[in-house]
Amino acid sequence: MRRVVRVQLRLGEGMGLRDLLFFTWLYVHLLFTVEPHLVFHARDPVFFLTPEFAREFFDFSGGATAYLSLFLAQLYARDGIGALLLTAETALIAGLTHLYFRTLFGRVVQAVRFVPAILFVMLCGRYDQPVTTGPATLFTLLCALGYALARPRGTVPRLLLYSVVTLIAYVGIGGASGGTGVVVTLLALALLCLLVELRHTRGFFPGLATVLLYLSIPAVFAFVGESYLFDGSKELWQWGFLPKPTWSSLLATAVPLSVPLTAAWVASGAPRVLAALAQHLAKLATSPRVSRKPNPPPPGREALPGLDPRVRWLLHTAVLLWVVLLGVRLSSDEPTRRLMRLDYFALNQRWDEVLEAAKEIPPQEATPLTSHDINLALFQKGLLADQMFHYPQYSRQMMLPFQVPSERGYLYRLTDLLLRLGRVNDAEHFGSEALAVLGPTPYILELLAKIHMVKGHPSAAQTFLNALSHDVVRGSWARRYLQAIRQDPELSGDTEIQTLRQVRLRKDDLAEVTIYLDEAYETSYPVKETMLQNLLRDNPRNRMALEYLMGLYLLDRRPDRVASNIYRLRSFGIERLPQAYEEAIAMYAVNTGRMPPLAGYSVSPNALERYRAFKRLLDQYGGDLGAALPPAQAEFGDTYFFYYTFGVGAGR
Amino acid sequence: MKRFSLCVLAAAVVAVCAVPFRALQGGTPPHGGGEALSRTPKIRPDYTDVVIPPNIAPLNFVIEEPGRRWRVRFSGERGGAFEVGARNGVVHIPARRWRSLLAANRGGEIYMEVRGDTEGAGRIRFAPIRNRVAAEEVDRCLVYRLIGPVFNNWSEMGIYQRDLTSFRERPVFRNRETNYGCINCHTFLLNRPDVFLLHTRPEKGGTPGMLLARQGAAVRVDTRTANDRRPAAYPAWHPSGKVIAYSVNKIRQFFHTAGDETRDVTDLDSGLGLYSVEAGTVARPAALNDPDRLETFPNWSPDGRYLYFCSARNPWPKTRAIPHEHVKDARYDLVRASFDLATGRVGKPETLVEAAQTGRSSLEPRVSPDGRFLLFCMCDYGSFPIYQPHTDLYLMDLRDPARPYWRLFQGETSWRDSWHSWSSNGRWIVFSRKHQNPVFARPHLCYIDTTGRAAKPLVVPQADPTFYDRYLKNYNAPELVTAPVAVPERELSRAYNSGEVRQTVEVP
Repeated sequence: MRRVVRVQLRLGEGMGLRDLLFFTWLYVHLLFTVEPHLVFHARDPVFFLTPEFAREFFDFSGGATAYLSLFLAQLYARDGIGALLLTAETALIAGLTHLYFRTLFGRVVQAVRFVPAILFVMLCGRYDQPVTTGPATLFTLLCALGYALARPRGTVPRLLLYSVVTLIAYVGIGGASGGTGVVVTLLALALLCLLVELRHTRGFFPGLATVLLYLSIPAVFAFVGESYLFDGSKELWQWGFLPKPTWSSLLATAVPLSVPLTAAWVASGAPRVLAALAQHLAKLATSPRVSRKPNPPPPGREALPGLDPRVRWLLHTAVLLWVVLLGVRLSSDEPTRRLMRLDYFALNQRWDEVLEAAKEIPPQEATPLTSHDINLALFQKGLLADQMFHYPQYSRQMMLPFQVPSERGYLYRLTDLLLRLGRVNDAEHFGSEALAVLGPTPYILELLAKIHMVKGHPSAAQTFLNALSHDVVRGSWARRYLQAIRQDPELSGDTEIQTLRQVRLRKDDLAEVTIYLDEAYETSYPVKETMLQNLLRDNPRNRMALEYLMGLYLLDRRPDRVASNIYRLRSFGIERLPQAYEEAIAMYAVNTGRMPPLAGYSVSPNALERYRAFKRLLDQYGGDLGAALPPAQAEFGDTYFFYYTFGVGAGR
Repeated sequence: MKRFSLCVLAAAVVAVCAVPFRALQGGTPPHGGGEALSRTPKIRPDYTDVVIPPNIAPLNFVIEEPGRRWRVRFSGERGGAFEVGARNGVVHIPARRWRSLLAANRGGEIYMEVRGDTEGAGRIRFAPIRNRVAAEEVDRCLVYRLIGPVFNNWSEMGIYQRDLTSFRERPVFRNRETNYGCINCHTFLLNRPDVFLLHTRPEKGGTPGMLLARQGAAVRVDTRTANDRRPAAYPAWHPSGKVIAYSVNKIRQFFHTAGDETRDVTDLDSGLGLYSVEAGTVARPAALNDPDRLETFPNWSPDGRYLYFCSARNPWPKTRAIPHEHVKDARYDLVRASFDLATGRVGKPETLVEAAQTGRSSLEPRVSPDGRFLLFCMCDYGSFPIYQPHTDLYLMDLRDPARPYWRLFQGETSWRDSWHSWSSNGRWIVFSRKHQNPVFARPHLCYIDTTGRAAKPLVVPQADPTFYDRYLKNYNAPELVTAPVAVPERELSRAYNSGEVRQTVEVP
């Protein structure tokens, strides 16, 4: 007990202003650069406050840590709290590492506490980070520290204590260290405890016996546990970074393992060699006129002689800062961050910000979803028909293909798009696929609840809402709707639901398809053009169906179809032709030499002249599109002509 | 003496503290006072006027009435009474008292009297809810598949068993043991927990097959033969345990783009096979494999002399493209064919319910253990009743051919009931119901008396009565067994993953 008290009293020893500066910087960095709400958005951690959700975590080793981690990850949804949590986790990792080293070597070892902390900071900048790494590393360090502090004298009590600590770590932390398996947790713990033992072991054979014993005990626990206690946790044996290592999987593995490896490095005496080398170099560099002898460094502290302590402190701090910034720079994932911001704004229906964020995405980073988000945002802002080609069109498909990839964003968008268009059953299909593939994420529960509200299935909607109501972050939305359904199951006062009901497809267009044996289920659906036409057949005032149908013709380079469907605009009281349609018809008219019937609309002379000017520009380059591209983009980049000719809407 | 005084003092303190605690739990009892209402309270799940198995777990429920400080008095016509408070209207019935109440009133009635305070009317007392306790027990365990509302893809699914006398649920076999393939069609021999089978369908490639479990050991069987590469689907044990009838189906799923139900399934082709358990051979009798017809859903009579199944004229023979409108042309008759176990001979099928007369599809025949009743469901068309919005259960009296079959539960709308099966004593049936919720099927128990009259069904109770309100999985193919399944999941997993597959040979 006396020993514990002594160590506790010395916790703050060696920690000070540098730590304060480091963690303050970290908080600001996380808050403004990483933006924890983007981590939350990217990871989409599902956590429900229900007994059956908690029960799922009893099934595998490490369930307790996984459960706690998922709960804590809910805090990422708020930037301030999320940054604070990640900073606190980093500080605790650094603090426990410091304590471990203090206990292991009986002295303060400078700077090493920052090793796992820096790795963890690097991990925090990744949007595919496992949310369990922080808590799992903390608990592993706590177990090791507990062992180091309570280490009894006899061999048998020591082995017993080690077994207990290993058992606790196996059951409580298990494979939750970040998808890298039980192996990493137990290996980290074993090495940490082993180092403690080896400090007290003399001789080769006793040392070898200790190594074998301390590695075999966790192996036995893991084997017995995975084989007989925890059914179905086979995947926890797999190493997350194999066969395709990612930054996140490597970092998640490195964080817990860095502590014993650093300790082994320190114990090997390598730092002293390096310090001696640095001393030698410093001697060569320092001037002989330095008369004042610096204070001797305190025991255990490798110092640079001949430097003022304040300068030395600044130098150490600068080196630390440089290492941290280098690490952050190396591990940062700016492309993902840019896409994640767009994703976040799109799924939260912040349309203005979608259009702003889209401008930051270079063409080479764009995905088909980028165009989808831009087009949806333009439609929601009433700008699609005019400004569709003001933005890059990376995808040549107006509607996402009917596929079921495991990509979360794709399935969310496909379901959402189909629901907005009025293809409610199709939305139910792909929403249910998302539920099967991704599990009950809050966003998909919200969509499925809406789908069944629109379909007039209040009880099914209530099931999804009840499940969602137990979500920590988005439960309030569900509770509001549950209340509304209780008061009026028809939701007759809900504008959104009523609007969706109005545009809902009424006639099953399955009759228009033929079922082929041995073919994929996509063949159960008619082609996209027919789907949109059928929506307009059932409700000619379905504006989204119209604009997406026209968009489909535009992207498909079918200006004749744009012209032949232009009469549909009359249903919406549109007075003048929107820019994209006008340019398509102008191009068609100039190329064919005749103006198609336009249901009373007319193409402006300006549009016709602009297309002629575009043609003249192309003619100047004699059909060399590569050469014509830069000037064409500069002058006509926001036109349909440009898209039609160059294949991608480059925007300006 | 001093110790005694301390004990008295401690007891007094506990008693004083308990009063407000009890008040928080459910409020002080109104002690019979207050306005008496002539109606029963609205409760969820609806456990009013039902017939209860005498061995069922407590029927916990939620009081759906405006008010607070609810108390519920449970009593029986043959004695036994207790009272519980209901925090937030949620009634958790103590298991031991519940069991005693049911035991004392077996074959009689029990009452649930709800009292509480309301904002305007002060103390109120509802008319007691009356439920009858059956004399006959329901089989102890219910085995079902838990599966999400899947379309084409799935992740986790599993076959689980629920002890109906408590709330304990345990896995029988989960698809995590099969790398997340599909597992289905668990079928028991005469409600026995030690002899059963289930099917496994690996997701990509792999060998689909049957896991056959008997007396604690399991073996993997591939029923496909050189002539027919289709795996076995809906199975049924011959009561001797020597033969398994099964269907082979070429199933095609498709999706309606408008209307109430999105999913639909059709059998493009199907037929029946007989698997000899001991010999490991397969027979495809001509009577069960008419090329012009689609045969499916086999079920044996308890004496083993008849094989009941469903049969429809094949609307699309020898084609690979099916215009959608023909899908609704497949309507199934209910037929049976005689069977001789000694020779393996199958007689000519005779029609019991004709689709041409009903205009509907009769599916999933299940004969009661005493051989008297035939339980089946009818839907508008096709062979997948769970996806049909108009599916109801029907009962036929096999001992009285003159008596027309009848709809089990009356009502203006369809109950969307399917996947039904009998208890070993023939007095209970269990089925999946999607009446109120077209997405999620819930298991219901129903008492059938000796004349074939059905009582009002009750949903299988849960410890948390709000559980079904938020549970995102379906209870699929519930089957009653007399005791917990005797083959551990580890053994089933071993049989599946061992790589040993028992091949079958087709015999004429």
